[in-house]
Amino acid sequence: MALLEVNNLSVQLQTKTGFATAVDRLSFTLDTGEILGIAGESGSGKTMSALTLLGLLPQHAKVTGSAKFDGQELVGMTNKQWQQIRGKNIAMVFQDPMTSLHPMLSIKTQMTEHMITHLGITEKQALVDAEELLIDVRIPDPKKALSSYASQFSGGMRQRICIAMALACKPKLLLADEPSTALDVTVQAGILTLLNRLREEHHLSIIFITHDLGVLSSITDKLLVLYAGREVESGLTSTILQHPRHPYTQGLLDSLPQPDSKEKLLKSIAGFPPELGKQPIGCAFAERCKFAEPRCTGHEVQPTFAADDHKFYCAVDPFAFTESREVGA
Amino acid sequence: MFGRRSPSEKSGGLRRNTLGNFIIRRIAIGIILMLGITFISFSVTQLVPGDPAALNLGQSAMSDPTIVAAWRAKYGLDKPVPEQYFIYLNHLIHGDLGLSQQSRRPVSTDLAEYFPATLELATVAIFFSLIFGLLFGIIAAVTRNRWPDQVIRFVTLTGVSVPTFWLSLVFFYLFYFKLSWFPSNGRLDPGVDSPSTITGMYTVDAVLHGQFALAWQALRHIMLPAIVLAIYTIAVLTRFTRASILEILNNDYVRAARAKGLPESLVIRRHVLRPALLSIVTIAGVAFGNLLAGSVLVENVFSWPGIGQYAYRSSIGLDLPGIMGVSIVVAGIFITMNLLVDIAYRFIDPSLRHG
Repeated sequence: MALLEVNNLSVQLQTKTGFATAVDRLSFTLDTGEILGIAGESGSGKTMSALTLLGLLPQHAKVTGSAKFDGQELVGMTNKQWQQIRGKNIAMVFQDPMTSLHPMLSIKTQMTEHMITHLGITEKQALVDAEELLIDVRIPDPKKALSSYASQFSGGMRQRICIAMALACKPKLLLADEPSTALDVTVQAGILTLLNRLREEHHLSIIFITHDLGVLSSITDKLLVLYAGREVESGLTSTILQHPRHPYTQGLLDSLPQPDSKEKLLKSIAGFPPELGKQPIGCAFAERCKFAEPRCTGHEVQPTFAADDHKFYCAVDPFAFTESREVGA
Repeated sequence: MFGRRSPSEKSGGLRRNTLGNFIIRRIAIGIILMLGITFISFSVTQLVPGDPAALNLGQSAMSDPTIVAAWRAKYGLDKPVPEQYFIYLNHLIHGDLGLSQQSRRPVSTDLAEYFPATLELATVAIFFSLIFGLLFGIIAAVTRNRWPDQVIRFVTLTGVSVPTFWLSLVFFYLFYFKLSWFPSNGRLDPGVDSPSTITGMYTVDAVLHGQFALAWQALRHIMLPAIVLAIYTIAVLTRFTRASILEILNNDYVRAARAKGLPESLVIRRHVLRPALLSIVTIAGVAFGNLLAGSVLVENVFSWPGIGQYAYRSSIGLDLPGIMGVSIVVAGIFITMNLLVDIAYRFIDPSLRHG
């Protein structure tokens, strides 16, 4: 049985004009020890899907469908039930380590409070564990770090502390929402290596959310590409990177910087994603897609299976016979 | 390892950021401020038209120039104004605030009598204000836009809008005259001797002397004016607490705390209330300062012999030493309150001590 089974999960947010769909019938599974990458532009519903898995959506958000974690249905849980899951079984690392650590509470307090709550251990024991965790994420001088405050650390160090904090109760699933985006490239690489190592040591499953396919390629096993709240392509990371079938995935890959490219400008996808609540019926990407045909819109796009574990939603399929891309970079 | 220099590296320097140094620095600034305030209030009092002699001497005495001249000489009013100021400062340094032209007693004696009355009243009022202001503010914030919030917002809006003098009269009529829940005005029942002075606050003095019945009586006398004074402050603090909690709730670190699965009460208590307290303490400090500066209206309605009444009488009589004395006390109150607020910051936000 998969650790996480998401089926037709939809999230609707209340706006001034009514409910708008932020996540549209998302389905995926995640096994123990697997890393799933969710890719997409801002507003594609990546963060919303992660927050749904922690029950941290804004008030009045409507969630339908199913998300089974370890056999337990997450959709429709009460706040009390959520508190048992959050931090203990599913933990999250947020995008901006500069704002997600509390400025006025010592690292000690922030590292140990949920251990004490969830694991029922004493503060003393929690402190010992906290120190070990900090060593685990390569924080020099963990004793001193524990009695310090967030402002005394750099961004990369803060994110390492956030990761240590997330792992404190030995969760089975880690949601990493752009954990390296706010950091320098060199620091970013360190965080990715760290997550990869922790996955193996802690048998951790990770959902890694980012807009940067370059980052995803180096760490994830599986990939889910979202556009305007909907899945456009999913499958094994290696397969998708070699042979992306959806024009949007293709566009994302083309927009990555190529070191040996003769072109001076980065390629970008023209236009903007549709506004929240204004997604068309059919392919939401059609109006920005250079391969779009009339049949792309007006009715639901059916999934096409390129292989058992490679699925995409494009009626035109312009890349069916193109050669494989070179992977790596 | 650290983004900024760590505290241990820094502490070798001359300007150590310890609490003691911080307080000494602030007291020095406070003294300079006080000096400026004496100058301003002295100048302003000189600008007010009117003759103190005419206000303090009777009509027949005023018609005799020798009496007027003698009176002016007694209070030093015959000298040039700048000289008067320096004489005043010189006396002030020696702890002499001059003679009140109204009470004909040293101003320091007057202040020692009137200020504790206000201090006692203000302390009880700020006590109520903090308890209920914070409580209502927190309830309103966590039940945002639901009925408890709506009720609290309506009531506190009324609280800040109702004039205090009107409220004093209504409360006095209702709770003393009609319901007799509280004793009449004054600090004690008529004919009861005050406890011998230690602090000048009757409740405290009575307790120190072991006169608990007297302390209870004094406390009952404080209640009504304190509640009237507290109502406005409660309303202000409630609205302020609500606003700052709602602001803090939007922070990423609150979401991060919830993501750790902490009980909501702990999230509010530890992660939200602490940063919210920074701005609440600022407002509470100002509010306490205002209460300590005395309320002329409330003190008059409840015949409370406090600094507000004293200030009022001094200004009506153009009693320069009295006015100066009150100005210095009030300035001292606000400077002290600001200092206390800044010290409180460092306890609320321990990271400041490392900064």
